[in-house]
Amino acid sequence: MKHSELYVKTGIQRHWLYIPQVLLFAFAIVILSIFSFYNNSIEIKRPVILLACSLFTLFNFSDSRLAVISKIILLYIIEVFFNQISEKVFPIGTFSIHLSLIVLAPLAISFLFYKFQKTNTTFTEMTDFLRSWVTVFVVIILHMLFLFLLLKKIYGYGYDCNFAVVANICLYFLVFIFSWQQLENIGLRRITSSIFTIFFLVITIKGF
Amino acid sequence: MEYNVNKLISDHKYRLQDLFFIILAGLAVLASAFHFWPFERSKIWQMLNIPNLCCGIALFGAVILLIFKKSRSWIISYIPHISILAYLAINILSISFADNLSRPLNYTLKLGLVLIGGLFLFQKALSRSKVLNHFYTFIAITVSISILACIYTRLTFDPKHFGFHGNVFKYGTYIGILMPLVCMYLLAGSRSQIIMAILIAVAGIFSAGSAGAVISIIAGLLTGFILSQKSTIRIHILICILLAVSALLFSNKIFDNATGKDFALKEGDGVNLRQRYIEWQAEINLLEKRGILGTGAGCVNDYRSNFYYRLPKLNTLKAYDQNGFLAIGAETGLLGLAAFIWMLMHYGKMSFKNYINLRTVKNTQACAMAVSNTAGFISCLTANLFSSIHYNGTLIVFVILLSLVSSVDRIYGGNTGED
Repeated sequence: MKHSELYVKTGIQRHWLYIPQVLLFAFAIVILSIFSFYNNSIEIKRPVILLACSLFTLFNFSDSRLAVISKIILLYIIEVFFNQISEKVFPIGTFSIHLSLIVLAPLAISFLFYKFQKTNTTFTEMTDFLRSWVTVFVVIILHMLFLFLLLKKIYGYGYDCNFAVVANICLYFLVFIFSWQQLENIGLRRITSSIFTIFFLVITIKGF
Repeated sequence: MEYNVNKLISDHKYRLQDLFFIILAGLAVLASAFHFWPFERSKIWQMLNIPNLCCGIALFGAVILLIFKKSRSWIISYIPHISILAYLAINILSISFADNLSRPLNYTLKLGLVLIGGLFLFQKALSRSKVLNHFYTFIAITVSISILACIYTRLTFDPKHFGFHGNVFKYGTYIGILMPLVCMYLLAGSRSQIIMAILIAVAGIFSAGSAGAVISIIAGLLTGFILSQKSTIRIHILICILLAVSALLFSNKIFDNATGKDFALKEGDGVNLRQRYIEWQAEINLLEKRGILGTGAGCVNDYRSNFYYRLPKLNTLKAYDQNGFLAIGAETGLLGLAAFIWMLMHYGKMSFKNYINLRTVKNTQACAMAVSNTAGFISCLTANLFSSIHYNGTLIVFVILLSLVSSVDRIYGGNTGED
């Protein structure tokens, strides 16, 4: 099956919206990489693997399976960077704002531009993957509920963990929603891959 | 309603190449009963035991055929679903964050070998309805060997030794998935097959020493009970369940309440929560810090104790006593878990669709296959709650199940199962 056969395009395309969409997406990826570079909480032990994978995503594959694998790799790296900065905050006067929200905002606006282009693309693999994300929510929450009841019964106190886990799942889910469909675009994918390739090349040579 | 056999698959003649893959698949299934016997301690044998080796040979064969043969299309049609490839890709990526290289690398290699090679091997071997029909009986013989070996060692040598598998949780996952699968198929067959199914069910429950095994077997049998169309089959399943429960009570008396203890929510001290559930909590806690990175494929043991927080660490956790879903989440992150669930959803949907399409056909064997695959799938999901289907030696069972589901779809479903 050819990659182009995976989706059906309907509606009117507004091409002029493509430029702000790409610019915002690229901006989000650049600041995400910079934040991740300076605020990494968990060390990347073998950046060479990530470098090789980013190089792989630079190619345009006609086979649908390889194209989806490319998208998964890019999504994984984006999510990894969000994981690295998820606990970090940026102080603004008396307030402080989470770094992840600073990156999520341009990503979300870029997604809105994408949606306004009225390319109602229906990806076959999107629905299944989306459902599996929802199932991840259900699986984790059911386990948390079960453990809450057990801990309450045996030790008398409630759930041992705060709800940061659920908040994290929500954050990663939003990142998935805002990036997955946009990554279908080969141009956008190449820009993202190039940024990641440079990033991992730098940390492979110089380290964090 | 008549069933449609995919003519593209059923019409061509047997060739030497087909026989080779059928023999290889049979060998892999039969050898899976013996687990790592006779070289349990050898690391090389753990990697290259007979089932893994068969998968490796099949993978090598596929590559050779892909390079030299003109008929590439059918080989490409045996490439696993994209969810499996995505899951493997995430496993490879997660190696970047693991503390050491050898363990995640070995783990991912085994995973890739069995998932890609195994799926190719079994799907290729089961590309004809005749072979598919006999394959269930062959699995039944293999499961019987495993159960008999377990009963023999538990009664004769040590009640804590579980045949060739040695470990209660690995053995439980092995029979917990395969037993309902073969029982449901045999129960729709001749009188001798029905007797064999009842004997396997009773002996399986008698030999199982873990809550996970018992619950997954019962879940599979109950699924079969709900899905079966004929009342006679339902009565036989009911007999199976009743005899199995009696066997469980009998086993508890003989083996010092071993299975009963595994159901307990508290530790032996009567105060603390069972370490298994504390472990589940630790794996959820781990997701807070390493939600996407995970610990690296197969490396959950390196980190989990850091996430107990104020819960007690009693060191009473037995080997392989893991929740498969949480372990995958902890090892490969939430994206890895999402890819794994995507895989389960794809094959689960295919299995249920096969059942819907085949439940009214005249061919009782095709219908029995659809029911037994769905029952096996439910057992697999249940077994994965109390142990992981990803362990070396039990992963082959999961791959057999996926291959059966896709082969039934390929032969009787009239489509290739592709998206």
